[in-house]
Formats: sequence, structure tokens, C-alpha cells
Amino acid sequence: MGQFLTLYGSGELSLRQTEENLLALNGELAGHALALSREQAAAIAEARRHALAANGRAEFCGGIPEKIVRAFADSPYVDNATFAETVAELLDLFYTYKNETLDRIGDDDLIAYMKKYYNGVCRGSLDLLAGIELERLARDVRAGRKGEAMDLPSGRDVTDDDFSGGEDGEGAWNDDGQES
Amino acid sequence: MTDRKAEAPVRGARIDDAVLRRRDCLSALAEEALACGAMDEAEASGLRAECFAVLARLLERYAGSETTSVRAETAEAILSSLSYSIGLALKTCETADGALEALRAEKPQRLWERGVKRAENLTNVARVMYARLKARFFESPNVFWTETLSSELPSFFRLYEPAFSADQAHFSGSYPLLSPVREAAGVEFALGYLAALERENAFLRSFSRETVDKLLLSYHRDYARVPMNLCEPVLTTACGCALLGKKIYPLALTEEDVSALREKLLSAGREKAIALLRGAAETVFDDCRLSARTRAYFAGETDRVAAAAYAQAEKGSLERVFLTPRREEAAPAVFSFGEPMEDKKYRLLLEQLGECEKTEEKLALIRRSVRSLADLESLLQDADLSAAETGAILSSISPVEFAALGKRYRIFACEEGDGEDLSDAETGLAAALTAFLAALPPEQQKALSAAAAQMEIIG
Repeated sequence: MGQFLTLYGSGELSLRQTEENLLALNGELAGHALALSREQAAAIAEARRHALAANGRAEFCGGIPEKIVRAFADSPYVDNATFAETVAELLDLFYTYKNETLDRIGDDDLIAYMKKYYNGVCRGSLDLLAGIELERLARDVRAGRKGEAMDLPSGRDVTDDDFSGGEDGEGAWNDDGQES
Repeated sequence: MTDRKAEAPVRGARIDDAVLRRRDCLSALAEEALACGAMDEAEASGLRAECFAVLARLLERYAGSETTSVRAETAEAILSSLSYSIGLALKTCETADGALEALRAEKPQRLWERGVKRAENLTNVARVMYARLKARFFESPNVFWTETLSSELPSFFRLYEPAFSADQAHFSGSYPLLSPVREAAGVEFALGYLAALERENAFLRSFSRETVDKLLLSYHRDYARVPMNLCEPVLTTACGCALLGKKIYPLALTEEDVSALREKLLSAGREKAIALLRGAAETVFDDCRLSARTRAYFAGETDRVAAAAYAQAEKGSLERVFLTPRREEAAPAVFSFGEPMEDKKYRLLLEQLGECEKTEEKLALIRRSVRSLADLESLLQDADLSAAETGAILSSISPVEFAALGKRYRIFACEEGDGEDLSDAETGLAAALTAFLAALPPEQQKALSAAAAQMEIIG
């Protein structure tokens, strides 16, 4: 006997719906000199679907792509050429770190944290955001230091370790936050 | 699929009521309804969409307001619980067609609520059953029987959560029931298991604890740690007693009784033998004054038990099912090797033995000087004795002493161990003992082995 109710392909928000919701944000985005084309909106919707599947998660009422678009639209590190691609990558990071933080951080708090560090010490580097700040957050949350992790001042000084990758030589960064 | 979409649902199509007894009643009902045309794909899609709206609300409640996604396995588990709960509500309908009508008439949200409420009510029923069973639980050393009551069922009451995991029972039922619970999950599994346990308990309580213990010990020496059903060997043996016109309560078949049963069953042939055992089971149920439900529970398994007994009769191993109670084992006899002589005296004795030229002189010296089996054992290893001299010494000791030596060197078949931990001298002595034993008549060998088995060695 098969199951009448299966998770896949039924209850999740459709790609089309996400796409439409994203296109509806273009009015707000215009204020930041940004715009999403239908293709870009479709790419973000597909990135969300892929990120959910890759991270083994199910979303029950959507809205995360729209929240990320809204949160990062005023970032000094995004422009029209790379915005859709950045949002797609942020979506993957979002679902990855929902898992890594054991679901102990709410959606809005995680997006706010990502925005704070992306615009702050990471200076628009998604690699720094993922490799250092989100990793540290996950480590702290898993160690039971959620409050401490979330309360770090946004203006935390960038240390040499952030850019040199420490003693093991992994991940060397230049001043632009780009991998050298 | 496309054809079905085009067709209008066939109202009034008869759906098999068996779907109401299925584990996932909602899936079974919808599948049957789709198959017989009572529901079309469009209606099924609409129903699924409504169920997913309920799932979304449930996930939101589960995850809290701060998150909109959960791990896929969590969502799947809650979806499975939702489907089970809706099914639990539908099972209150008298017919499958009535359940389909209820599915159409009520929103899935309402059906889910009714299902959860029913799961809570059934949990309360299970609590009452558990308390009743606990107060009158048959005492047995079998850990699977006792642990089921003392830790498995309590874990159900502690962890069962109808809202999010209604289909999880949180216990596996490690005690194997005579009639396993089938097609049930969640609280229904717990209730079914409890009901079966209650019936088995009622049957076992017809006999004394000691009688059952003695019988099951003959089934397996370590039955206390074996995951086995306690009732089946008791029922089969009781049937054997009834078949021979003996009283059932002592469960006291003899080896002669088992032979008589073998003859009776084989001469009757398979079908008649099963019928005979079925009749014997009825006598057992009457004698045990079982309630109608308990009787029905056991009667449902009687043919299988009877067929298994007949198969053993054909194989010539009927004693495996018609058990003869284990005889009380005598306490083992304690045998001491005694105190060894002083080292100085022992060394002197070894020197003197070395100076003896004839075997008779050595034997005479040993007879005069050795007062304990511990010293004799040492001499057999340390003195440079020929095989004939060793044989002569072993012939001179009593059978009990030989059995004790043999037990220590594990020369009897029933003794465990492969002699890997023995020194060279000890291995030599073990070989000499084995050779001596092999040369004895079989009856004597058997008697020595039996004596060794009853012996506990100290010193």
C-alpha cells in the first residue's frame, strides 16, 4: 500500500508562487536601485528548492527568499549585477546553518545575524560569512552559548586570523575579503 | 490516471470494510476509493491540499513561531502522525463507505482533532489495563516478560504524544506474544499488546509459578534470558496431558507419556492429530476456566501449535514440544584435592622416586608418602614416570578421585575449554588421563563423566 500523503511534490510552496512573490518585491527594490528579472526570480526560487532538498529540510509556509531579498537590498556590498546570485547563495547558507545551529535560532534572528556580519566584518564576503562567522555561531550554539554568540557587537575588530586563516594556512584573505 | 480524472466518482461504490482495520486507515481508504472509482484524482488532490494545510499548522505549532522550516524527517514523521490520527477518527465509522462520507463531510483539521482526542481516550484505557495487569502479573524469571511490564510499557505512557507522533508507540514489545499484534501502530499497538499480554497472563495464572518454571527450565536451561513466548510450551504440554486424560495442572508428562503421545498422533495422521489436539486444547481452556476473549485468543493459535507438535512427532522429536518437567538437580558434590605436603618433603620424595629402579618400588613409595590428591597430581606431572607407571597409579586411585582429576583437566566431553591454558606438564597429564579413560568400558566412562558433572572442585 502506498502512502496517500507524501511530503514530496505536494505541500511545499510551488516554484511559481515563490517566483511571483519575489517579482512583487521589485517596487521596494527600486528604492535601492535593484530589480529582479523573471529569470532571476525563477533562479532564486530554484535555489531555495535546491537548498531545502540539499539540507534535508521542509518549509511549511515559505517567505524566506523574500525576507532575505528585503534584508540584503540595502547592503553596500550588493549591486544589480550580482544581487540574485548573492541571494541564492545566502539562501543555501541560511538552510545550512538552520541545521548547523540545530534549529535553535529563529529565521529572523539568523537573517539579522547574517546581515550584520555580511555588512560588517565580512565586508560583503560570503566565504568569510560562512567560513568564520556562521561557523563560530554554530559552534557556540552547539556548545550552549547561544546568547553570547548572538550578542557580539557588530563592530568587532577584524583580527589577523580572520584574514590569514590562522596557523594551518587555510583560507588566506586579502583586505577586500577575497580569497587570495 | 488521465482516464480516472475524466470520470466522475462513482457514489455508492462499495469499499472493503477491511480498510478500517489497516494501520494507515486514511491511505488504505483513499487508495481503495480511487481504485473502485468512489473517489477521483481531483477530489484526492483537494483532500491532499487540505491535509497539507493542517500539516503546515502542525509544523508551525511544533517548530514555534520563529521558524518556517524543519528537518524533512521531522516533517515526514508529523505527516505520518497526521495521517494516522485522521485514520483513527475514521475507524469509528461502522463501514468503509461511511468513513469515506465522513472524509467528505468533515474537514481534515476536524478529523485530525477527533483522532487526537480518540488517541488520548485510548491511552487512558491503556493506563487502566496496565494497572490491572500490573496488580496480577504472573511472576516469571524471564526478563523479556518482566521488562515489558516494568520498563517497555511505562515508556509508552511517558513518551506517547498524540499531537505530533500519534503513530509511534515508543516500545517494540520485546516479549514475543503467542499472537503478535498486526496492522497496528501508536496507541492501537499498545492496546493490542496489552490485551494480548492480559490474556497470556490469565492463562499462565492458571498454573503455579513453580510448575511453569520447572517446565520452562526443561524447554531451555536459561529460559530466563531467552526471548520466548511463555504460553506456547505450557499450552502444548497441557494439551498433551489432556490428550492422555491426565490432570493438566501439574504439567507432569513423563518420557513414557511422550512416547504414548507420539504413537497416538502418528497413528491418527496429520489432520486427525490436529483435530485431537484442538479438542485437547478445548479441555485445557475449560479446566483453566478462561474467559471467552482469552479462550478466543488462544484458540486462534491452537491449529498452528498443533501443526508444530505434529511436525515434531514426525521428526521423532516430540519431547521438544511435549515437555517433561526438569528434575530437581542435586546440589553438586564438593571435592577437595587436599592440602599439599611441605615443599621440602615434596622435593625429598621426588629425589627418592628418582632413585627407585622398579615400578613396584615407586608405587609403594607413593602409597606410603602421598596423603592428598594435590600431591599425587603434582607427582604425575613432576616425577619422571613412564606411561605404564602413570597408568598403574591411575588404576590405584578411586573412581571419584579419577573423576575429580578428569574434571580439572577437562577430559570429559561435557566440560568446556580447549586446554589452551595448560602448561606442557599439565597437557601431558591431560593426555595420560584421556588415554586412561578411553581404555575403560563405555559404561564406566559414562559413570565417571556423570560423577564429574555433579562435582565441584576446590583446592
